[in-house]
Amino acid sequence: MSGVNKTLSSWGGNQSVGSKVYRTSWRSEPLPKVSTKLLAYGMGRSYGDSCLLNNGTFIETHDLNHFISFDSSRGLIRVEAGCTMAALLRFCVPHGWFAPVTPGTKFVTLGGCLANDIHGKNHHNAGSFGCFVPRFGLRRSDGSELECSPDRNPELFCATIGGLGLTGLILWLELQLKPIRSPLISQTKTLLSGLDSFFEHAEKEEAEFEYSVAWLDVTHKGKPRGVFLAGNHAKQASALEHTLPVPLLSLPFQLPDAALSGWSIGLMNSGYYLSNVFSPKRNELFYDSFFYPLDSVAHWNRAYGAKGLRQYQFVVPRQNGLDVLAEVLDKVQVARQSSFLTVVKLFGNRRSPGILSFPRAGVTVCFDFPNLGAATERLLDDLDTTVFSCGGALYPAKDCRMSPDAFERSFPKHKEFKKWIDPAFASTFSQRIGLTS
Amino acid sequence: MKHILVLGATSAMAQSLCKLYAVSGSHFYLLGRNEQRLNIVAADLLVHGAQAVEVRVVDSFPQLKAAAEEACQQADGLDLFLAAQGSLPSQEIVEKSGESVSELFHANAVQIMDACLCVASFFEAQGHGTCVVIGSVAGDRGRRSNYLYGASKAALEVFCDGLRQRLEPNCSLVFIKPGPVDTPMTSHLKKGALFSTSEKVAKDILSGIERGSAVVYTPSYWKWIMLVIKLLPDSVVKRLRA
Repeated sequence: MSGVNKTLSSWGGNQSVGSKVYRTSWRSEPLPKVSTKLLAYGMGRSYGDSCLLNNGTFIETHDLNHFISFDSSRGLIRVEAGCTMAALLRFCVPHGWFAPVTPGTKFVTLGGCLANDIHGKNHHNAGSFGCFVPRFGLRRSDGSELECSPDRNPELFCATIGGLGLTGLILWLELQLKPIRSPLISQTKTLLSGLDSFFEHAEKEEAEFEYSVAWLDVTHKGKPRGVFLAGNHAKQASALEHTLPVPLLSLPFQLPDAALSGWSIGLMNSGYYLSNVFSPKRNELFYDSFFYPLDSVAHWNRAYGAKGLRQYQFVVPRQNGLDVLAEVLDKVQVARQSSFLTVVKLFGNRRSPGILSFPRAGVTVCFDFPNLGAATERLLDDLDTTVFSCGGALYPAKDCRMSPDAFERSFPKHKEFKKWIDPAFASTFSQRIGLTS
Repeated sequence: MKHILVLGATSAMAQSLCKLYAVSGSHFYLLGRNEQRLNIVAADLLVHGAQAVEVRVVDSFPQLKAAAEEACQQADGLDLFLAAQGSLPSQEIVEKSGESVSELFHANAVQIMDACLCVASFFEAQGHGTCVVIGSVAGDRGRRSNYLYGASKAALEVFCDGLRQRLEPNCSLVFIKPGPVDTPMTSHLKKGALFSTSEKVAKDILSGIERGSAVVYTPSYWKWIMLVIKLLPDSVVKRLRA
């Protein structure tokens, strides 16, 4: 292992300052011996500053990607934490197994999935990623290498799931995969008109569909409109061997800040809505196109220019969902801010073991705003009041601005979590909200 | 199913190439210096479909010779020998100490030549077999910033040119010249647009072996870049600073 000075970025465009990067390839290696704080860095797909650390030392886990064991009859796989979702699927789909939970990009490490206890389009029936990890390995700064499971080191097990990488370096994890008969997804699309129709649909189609998510056109004047997407793994067996397309397009450089704002976002939202009006309502497509549509444009975050984007994701109890959604959309329109991709989903009741886990029963809404500086900050502060008025929570993986108070309201068990933080680990996020020094 | 002997099995390029061979159920003999790391690679290859993986720690010439002979003498013989061992120390440190020049040449050339000679005699007796040796574009022309590393790879290339003539027509030798590759070995270097990945290099090596190439530049555009660099007159090259 050797350290070099390097600036690392998050997906939203935040950057680390004055940090060194150590690249690790072997889970048998000790942690770098440095006097600064440590943080693992995988694919940098977290949007805010939870994957960053100023004046510290990153442990880059990209090469920590070996497979350890695979039980093909039970679908139980053990891999190192730097293995990506893309590499996992490339391996397990031909064997007839799929990831139990996947986020909206396959370019994430599985260690990152665990540390953020990520959720996917199947949260309403499956729960989050952490519900499918029976055990994992953790290296602590005292030199110990611990196996954590509900029976062994149970407190560290619960603290590390969703623990934002603050409890030590996740070395490997075991994952319970899900059997599939085909790499295809049968997809159904329904056009939504008005917020009521989202809730009606979501509640009706939850039982029937394993995956569901709704996209809203928040730039549309008048009654909110959108598209409800639902899908199941195709029941009909088909060849599991398959070739996936490599990214078709890549944004080679940052677009000017003005490229994505106001009218262009409105135009793209209308275009996307209309393309759905005229496309087939039922079809079969490769899992890649269903789960990861944005992965087909490499570096799509560069479209937001040098200032980057501000993601804002919250969850509120289901009974408040309709009112909160209406109020929030109203505030966004009044502030004349546009969100390119606005996504709404119902979370189910299955709780993850993670103490700091974000997903909980309710309605989750996610916006991505171009970063317009103070105006965007004012809007987000305003949205916070709506979210916290009914006991909601914000998602750390997408945040670079929440206050210590907002964090404590979002995660009532933060005091319990604090006991299990490794003293050598920290992130810009944890320092900002007062979890670590 | 192929029987494959790998020297320097924990290098990123060797791991990527072995994964491509593992899918078709190959049998591997992995040689290296660090047992823990070799075992990690072995498990990875087994999950990816390898039929069997054997691991040997080699630190000295007798150990290397014994391990290579052991692999050669298996009932089914040996199909492929991959020499992927190499080190890229800081040029400044090597320039100041005669000791590390010999270490550098030992790791990048001498040990590989020793192993190739062991395997070559066996391949000749067996009547078939392919040696794959990883060199570098740095061996094509001396450059101020890495001429010591380049010199060790150039020595290896001249050796391989001769050995190839000795082995043909029944056996073959493929010499690989990767451009800069983003691996742990180059983690201390600043990455430019010309950096490739070990997965890409592995695919090029595989197709080079299948085509029966003598020399494989990877990515292939390096063939043309290096052609131009080799043709540059000394009067220009001696003034370059990079």
